[in-house]
Amino acid sequence: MSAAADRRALDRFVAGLDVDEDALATAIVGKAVDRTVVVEALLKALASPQPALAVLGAQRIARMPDVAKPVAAQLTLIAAGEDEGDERVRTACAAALRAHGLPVPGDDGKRGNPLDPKPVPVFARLMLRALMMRSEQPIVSLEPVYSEDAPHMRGELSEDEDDVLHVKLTGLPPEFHGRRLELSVRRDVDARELTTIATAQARVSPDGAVAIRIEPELGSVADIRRWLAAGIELVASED
Amino acid sequence: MTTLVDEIDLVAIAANACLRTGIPGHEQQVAYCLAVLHGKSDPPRASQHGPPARTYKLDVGADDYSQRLGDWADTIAGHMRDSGVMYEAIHDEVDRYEITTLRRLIRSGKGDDIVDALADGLAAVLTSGPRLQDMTRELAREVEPGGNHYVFQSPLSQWVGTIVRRKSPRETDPLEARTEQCSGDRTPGESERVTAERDEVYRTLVARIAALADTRDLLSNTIGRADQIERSAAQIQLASTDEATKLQQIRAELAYVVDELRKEQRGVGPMLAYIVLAMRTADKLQRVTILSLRVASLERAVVDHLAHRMRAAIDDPLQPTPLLIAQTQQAKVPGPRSAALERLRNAPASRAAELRPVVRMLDQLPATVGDVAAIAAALPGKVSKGSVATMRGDAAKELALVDARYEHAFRRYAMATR
Repeated sequence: MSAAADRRALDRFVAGLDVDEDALATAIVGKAVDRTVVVEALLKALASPQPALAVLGAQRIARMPDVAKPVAAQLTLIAAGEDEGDERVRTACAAALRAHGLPVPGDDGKRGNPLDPKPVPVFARLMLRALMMRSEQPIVSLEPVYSEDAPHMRGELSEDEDDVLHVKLTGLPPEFHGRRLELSVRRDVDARELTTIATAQARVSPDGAVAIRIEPELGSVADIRRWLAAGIELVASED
Repeated sequence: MTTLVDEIDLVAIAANACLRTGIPGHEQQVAYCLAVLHGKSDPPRASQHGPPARTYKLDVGADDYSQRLGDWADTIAGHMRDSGVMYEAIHDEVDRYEITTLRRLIRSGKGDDIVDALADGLAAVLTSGPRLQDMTRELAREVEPGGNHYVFQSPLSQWVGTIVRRKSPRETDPLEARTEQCSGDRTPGESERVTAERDEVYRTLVARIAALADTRDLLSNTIGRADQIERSAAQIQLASTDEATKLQQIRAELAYVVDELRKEQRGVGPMLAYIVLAMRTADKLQRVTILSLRVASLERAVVDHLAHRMRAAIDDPLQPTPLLIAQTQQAKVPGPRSAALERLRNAPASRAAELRPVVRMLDQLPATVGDVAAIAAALPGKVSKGSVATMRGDAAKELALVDARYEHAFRRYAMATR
């Protein structure tokens, strides 16, 4: 498979077009292999016994679009080396870490760890649509308005044994993981703004699952169904 | 090294060589290469054409020293002229985690497993050397020349070939050969079984990853199955410890690549919505951005699909989404962008009238364009190629301010740099 064929397969995949499965798999594996090779090369460049070349390696990493974890770990180790190694290399490694928004050992008196998760992105909102079911359970099935926003998400509104309604969601995308969700609905079909009617008590699990309880006093099942049908949005709270 | 660089006017010698070989302006680079070459060890080496002989013979004080220095300057400049573009391409690609040019250089009819292993070592060597722009007298003073330094002393392809020949027999037997070695005490039937199992392992790996696109399977499941594949590989004694480690590293990168592609895929829709709905406050920038997604180097089906999705964003009353509006409000992009999106959200009745000029423009722009010059020609008024390239870069930066995924998707299609 040529580089051009790999590129074509990935371009089609990202655009949302049908892709030959083998071509896509080959392209993805090829990209992973290339990254592995480059990561190895970068680690060797950083380990160069010649400070001038190690500095060039760190400067290269600083301008690359992202930094692989093994490389970030190596940069941190070098940047943290207080009494050993070349000062210029340490400085260049620290600069590379900063260029990628990674913590630098010694900055602000804290020693960073590149393997720590990055700060949670501020924006995590998802528009959902309700599919009314004929059967009793679940009462309403939920899906993302734009499937590419949450390709694995499944959701439903169902009633527990105490007749309390719950919105149960699985497969939420990573930006929602570990965050607390608010459920907003359009309470009036003509309303421009959505109203938050419930907040999940637990945070979204690491695999993207959450349940949101809807307090019974908010409205009847029919009300909730009508509101959901008019518009739904999930928003990760700022905490 | 310091003495040489300071005492001999290498730059003047290099400048003359550059003029003779037709690459004026590269004297710093050639001077750097000369300085490094000068410092390389130069013992007598075995030769097919005669007794062992030294390669460079650059002996300060020798009668023919000046002549040899000039000759090497010409040689280096000539190879820089012929291989410089390829050398820079390798460096550019490494910056994007790609090794396409390097792979092309070392394809020698052997299995890809060898190519990958060699590319590993070669990429390390190349990234240990500076880019052309970094080849300066200052760096030459600091560098201790090593045997593996490439300073255009030979054509790049020949140098790579030499490295391949030196490394192949000892370190990177083809997978097929290793399998035969491992199966030395096996019966012919067992060997066939091992070969079949080996093939199955790799077929399975490819099939599992392919399944991602088809079943929208969870990444964790796929990675879990990659574990199984590795275990299978270990059971049939296919991989050395080194190969197993490599496979593990590839697995980690596989997870990253799939995750990044998924993010990018999710960014395409909102990116297109931003381009048609928010960037309409900057007519020329918007035209350049849209035309950049219609370049002929892209597959026509992709161009048409992106164009179709732009129209869909215009026709979709749910666009712009609250997320896109919030992102635009928070991003440090020109204020009118956010206002343009809010108007669509707050006054749906006037949406059609607001967006009519964009619809007209989408219809009027060429369905595909050849290159930057063609984009410039398709714009109203007189616009230079340079301005188009600048605007394209500005578009990428603006999209990055709103969401990194949008920039990634734009760069993929408009600049082929993903």
